[in-house]
Amino acid sequence: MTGLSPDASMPPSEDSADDGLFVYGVVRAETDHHADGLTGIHGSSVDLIVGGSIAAAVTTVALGEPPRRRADLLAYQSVLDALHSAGPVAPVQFGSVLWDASTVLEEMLLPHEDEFNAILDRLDGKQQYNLRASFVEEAVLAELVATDPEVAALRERTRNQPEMASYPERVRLGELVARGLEDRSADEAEVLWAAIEPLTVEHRVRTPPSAQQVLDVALLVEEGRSSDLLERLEDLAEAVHERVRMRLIGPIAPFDFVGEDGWV
Amino acid sequence: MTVQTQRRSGGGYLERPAPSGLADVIEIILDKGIVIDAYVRVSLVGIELLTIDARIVIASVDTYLRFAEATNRLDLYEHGGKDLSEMVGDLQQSGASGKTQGAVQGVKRALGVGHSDDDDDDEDERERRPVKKSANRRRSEQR
Repeated sequence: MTGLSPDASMPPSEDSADDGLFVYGVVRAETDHHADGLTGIHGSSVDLIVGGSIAAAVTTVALGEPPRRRADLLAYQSVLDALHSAGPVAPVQFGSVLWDASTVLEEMLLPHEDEFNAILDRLDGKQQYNLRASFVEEAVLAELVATDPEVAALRERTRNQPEMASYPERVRLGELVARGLEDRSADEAEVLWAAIEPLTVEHRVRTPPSAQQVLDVALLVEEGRSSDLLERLEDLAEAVHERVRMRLIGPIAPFDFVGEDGWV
Repeated sequence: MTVQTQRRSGGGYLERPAPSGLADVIEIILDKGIVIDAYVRVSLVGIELLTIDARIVIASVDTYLRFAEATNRLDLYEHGGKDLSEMVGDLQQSGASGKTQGAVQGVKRALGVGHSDDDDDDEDERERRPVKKSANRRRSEQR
């Protein structure tokens, strides 16, 4: 931890006008989250504010010191991952600070208890993974040159010319290459996805296929099927590794599978 | 001079980084999570830094020029003419040439479906990571 101010060690005082409550997310009240063992934003403790059947995980922060440093982002994510390992959690967007415990309770938890419960039920027993597949650019460019005569010809004409002399041809070459990559990207995304989707419960496309990236997708997976998914992805990654690189992050808290339910 | 193709043993083709770096974490949490209504929230200066426009516009002339340049930089065997540093780099990074196969064939093979006809294009393939970085997309946005 770097750059900690003396304030970080101050005891929580929710009544103070200078303090607020940084909210990480919402969990089931009945689950034992061992929240007292967690270290949150600014190195402070993580508390649970219980409202009915649900609870908000919070940390007291000084309002003059918005949590926006590197360590805060990392703490936010690691607290949510820790909560997630104990039971379902609905992450709240980073940077949500409420005035005090009664605001959390009366404005956030109690009026939306049913909605939160519905989200937690949906996420129970599931894990998020973020999957990316991107082209090994040189391999795929070489394919384009080999299969598209116009690309090959333009490349021949432009590669040893001064840039300004061949500007229109370079733009044309780049455009053809971009189109070619986009087409391939869309095709391969479809093929890869067909092999992956059956192992997922839900997914969110984070970025649609593009010239540079084949897949960028968040997967929601039953915990019991995670090892199947990993095995499948490993096989796929090996099969396509000469042209496509696959990168998987997770399991993480289900950041991509909340928030579409509107504002709370 | 012959160079052995380096194959990682026991899988490992799927990259599984621990999301410990700042860029990874930002990518994970960017714009994600339940949104709390603004009138309940304390508005703090600078806290909206994660409301970032992460979309990257791709179809621009600059991108085309970059692709053209990358295509022209390719060291296909039939053209040769590499300089020494490139040669050394190639040898260190991979070496032997291999088959380039479409994802369709590869995936089918991985899943044990159908069979594929290998196209043995001897193309220079190097084990270099794409030079793409997603770090430059941070832009604070005032609300």
